[in-house]
Amino acid sequence: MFLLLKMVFVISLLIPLAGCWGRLELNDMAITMGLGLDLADDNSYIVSIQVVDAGEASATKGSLGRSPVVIYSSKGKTIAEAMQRMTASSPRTIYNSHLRILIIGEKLARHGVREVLDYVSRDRQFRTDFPVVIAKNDMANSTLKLLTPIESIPAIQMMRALQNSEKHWAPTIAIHFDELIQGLIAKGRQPVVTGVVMIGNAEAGSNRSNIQTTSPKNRLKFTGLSVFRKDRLIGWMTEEESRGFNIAMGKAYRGTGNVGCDDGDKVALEVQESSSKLGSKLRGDKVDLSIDLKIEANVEEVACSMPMTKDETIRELEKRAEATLRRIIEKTLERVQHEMKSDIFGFGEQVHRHYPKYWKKVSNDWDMHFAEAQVKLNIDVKIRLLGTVTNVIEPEDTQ
Amino acid sequence: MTSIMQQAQQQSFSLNDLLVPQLDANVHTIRLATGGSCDIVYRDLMLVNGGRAVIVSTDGLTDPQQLQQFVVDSLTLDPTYDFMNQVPNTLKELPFHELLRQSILKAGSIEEHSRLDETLDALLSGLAILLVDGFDRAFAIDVKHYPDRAITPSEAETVVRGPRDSFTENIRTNTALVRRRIKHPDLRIEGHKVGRVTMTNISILYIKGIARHSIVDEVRSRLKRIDIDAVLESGYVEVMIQDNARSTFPTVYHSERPDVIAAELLEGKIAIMVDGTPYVLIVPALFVSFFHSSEDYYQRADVASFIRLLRFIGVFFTLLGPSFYIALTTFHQEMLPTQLIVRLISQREGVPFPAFVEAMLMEITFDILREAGVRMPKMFGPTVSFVGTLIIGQSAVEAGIVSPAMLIVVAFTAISSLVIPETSMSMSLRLLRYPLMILSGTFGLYGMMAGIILLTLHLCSLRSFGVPYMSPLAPFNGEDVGDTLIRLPHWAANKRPHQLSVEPNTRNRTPRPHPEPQVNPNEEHK
Repeated sequence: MFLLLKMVFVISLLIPLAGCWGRLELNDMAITMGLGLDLADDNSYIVSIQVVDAGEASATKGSLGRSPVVIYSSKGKTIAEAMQRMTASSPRTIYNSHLRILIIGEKLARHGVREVLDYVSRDRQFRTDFPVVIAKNDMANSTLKLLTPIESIPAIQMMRALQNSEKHWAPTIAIHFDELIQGLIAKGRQPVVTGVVMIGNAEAGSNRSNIQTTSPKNRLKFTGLSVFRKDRLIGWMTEEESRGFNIAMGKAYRGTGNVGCDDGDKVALEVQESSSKLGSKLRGDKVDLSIDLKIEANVEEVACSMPMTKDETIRELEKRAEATLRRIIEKTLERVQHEMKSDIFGFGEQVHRHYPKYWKKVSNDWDMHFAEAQVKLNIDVKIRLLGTVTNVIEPEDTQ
Repeated sequence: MTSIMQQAQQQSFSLNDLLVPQLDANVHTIRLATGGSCDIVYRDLMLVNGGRAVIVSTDGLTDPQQLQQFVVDSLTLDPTYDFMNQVPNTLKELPFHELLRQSILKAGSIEEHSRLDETLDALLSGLAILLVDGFDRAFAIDVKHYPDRAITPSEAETVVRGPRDSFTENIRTNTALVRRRIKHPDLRIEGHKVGRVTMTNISILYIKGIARHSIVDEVRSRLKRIDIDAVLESGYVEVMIQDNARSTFPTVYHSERPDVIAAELLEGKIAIMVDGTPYVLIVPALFVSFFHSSEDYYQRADVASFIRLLRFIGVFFTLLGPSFYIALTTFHQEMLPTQLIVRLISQREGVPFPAFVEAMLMEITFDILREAGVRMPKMFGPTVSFVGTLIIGQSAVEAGIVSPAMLIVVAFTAISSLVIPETSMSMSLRLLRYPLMILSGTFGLYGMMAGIILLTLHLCSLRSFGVPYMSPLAPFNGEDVGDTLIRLPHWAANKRPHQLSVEPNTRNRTPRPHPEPQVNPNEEHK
């Protein structure tokens, strides 16, 4: 018993030695939800963080009318310096593990993101599971300022909206931080990043009155993808082109597309399964590229009077869907291959894997080779389900 | 001078003295030995042969009716009965004290004692002592009737399905309750006496042919080692025969349910009954058996297994609930979902204490409330529950002194600690909760895991009467593991625990039930 007491005493002496290193009480933390990175005119960085005011953001007994989030921003020659400087204005320790979104201003994106992303991936607090977006024609700082309805924390709103539209709307995909880093490191594939645009005015949108109406005037909207070469933004794809890219990459799950009928009206198809495979074939000194796309879709809406119960109609619709898809993807390819000259599909990786010797020769100027290569599209659409009704609903008198 | 010497001699006696043929001297010695206690009653008699006799008994421990009917009535003269002429001649030839024992006394059990200490022991155990003039021994006649209470349902170990009776303070009633369940001659009940002053009766119960001899011998030798003045409850015995004096974990199991004791005896364990308490000790005790309830064996195996798993989840929360909360909220905030952490922060706004202090405060408050609930007089019950729940719970949160989340954690921990059927294990875990909270409050999950590892090592090093405490999990025994975290149905539990019982240890030969041929609904009555 005495020995035990002695041991307990000795162990308890260890406790003050440790000094509770790393201990941080919940109410001493300022949780960063959104991080915005911008380039200032003097080539220093502007770091803005969106910190949640927990008492306001999840008030159970009436709110005090404060904004649910607070923006702190500061300038520095490096990101780390700016983050350190930020502590001067924040009453609590800044805690980055719960970051929900990283916004990069377009100016910084065009200047190059390598240095700033190094900080985020090196710091131990940051996870890598948050989406990265580019503020199109704008500063990340002003994008962060906007208050949003429904989700009181704007960063969460942005992340949710992005995830939701990724599932249901073909032009957007969420690029997470780790994917972006992968894209930057990978040889033979260039990264793309989702873009976000501000509708309205940032200053007006940062006021609480902005979200007191049913249709906020100042809001954010996800737009087409930005195309990178190395770590620099070189251009924006339109929504249609972004859609083409996503479809070609087999990421168009649950996306809806319209197909024309005989009488000019449309049939809407919803993608259920989609898979794509990139291919390459070496032909002398040139390489032929291909995309094999397999899509299974359901009929979602019928606006014309084609007999949906007939097999031929379905075959016909499949063919037209294939043609529509081909048109969309070809348009994207045209822009990406010949105008931007950036291999965002990852054909380079495919070539590297199949023809390593050839790859060694071309890897340094692969983008040029990619721009000149032929891309063959093999599209196969299958229509599976027609929905709960078969033929279109028609008024009695037309029969 | 000589008279003073005589007086001094008369007043001194030794417990080792033998009784003498002189009745008055014997009575005097007993009177001296008991110091004239007022509950010792003396009754003078004139026997049928004209000799004198005295009945000494302890008032309250003897049944007056039995004493009257079987002792006094048979010794005193019945005017209508000519005793000396009607006794058969064969009996007349016997010495009178033999005649008394064999033919005249009607009581069921009669012992003869020649030593003073034995006589006193019998007297104070509730036997009536008959001293006959001219005979240097005492008859101890069993007319015991202890103050006793009825067999009532167990209050500490309740079941929904299962027998309701529980042990009482009377050891004889208790052995009878076990005998009623195990009517096999191999059930052995060994009597011992422990306690220099209290001279408490202790019984060792085991089933010969099931229990291991080595363990029975070990129990005997450990009981023999006890040299203490008083044993008032089985807890006295428990701490003196347990294996590891330093551990907070109990290595002796106890129960007040006869069905539990019977079941444990049938697995080869050994029960120790102590007179004066309904709590019966069982050794060897295994860690897992503290989480088993007798009801587990009366319910269907699937239901019982589910409830056992629930209990082990409860154990996890009892031990680690607050520590886990402290570690997560003060060291590992990145492990919490974002929405949850925002909610937790908003609850902690304005709470003045660190989470660790908050948890300590609430845990101690709860333990005080719980102790108050056990200890308070029954009529204060409503007051304590009102003050406890309303004032400490609700008001502390409204005043912003503790966060609601902490209150939920503490309340859940408290409820979880109640699913452990055995109180000594539940107390042990409650105690260990505090060091674990300190560890996680200083080192986070790292400290908590270190604590758990230390606990596991400690548990694996424990033994109960030579049997590893964690068996059959560590050392692992595949056949015995069917009755640990889960319970196999009785038709599948064919063997008794290997560590506890001797070979052959088959207990069940019933085959697995299978669908019987369907009864023909059209069958005619013949």
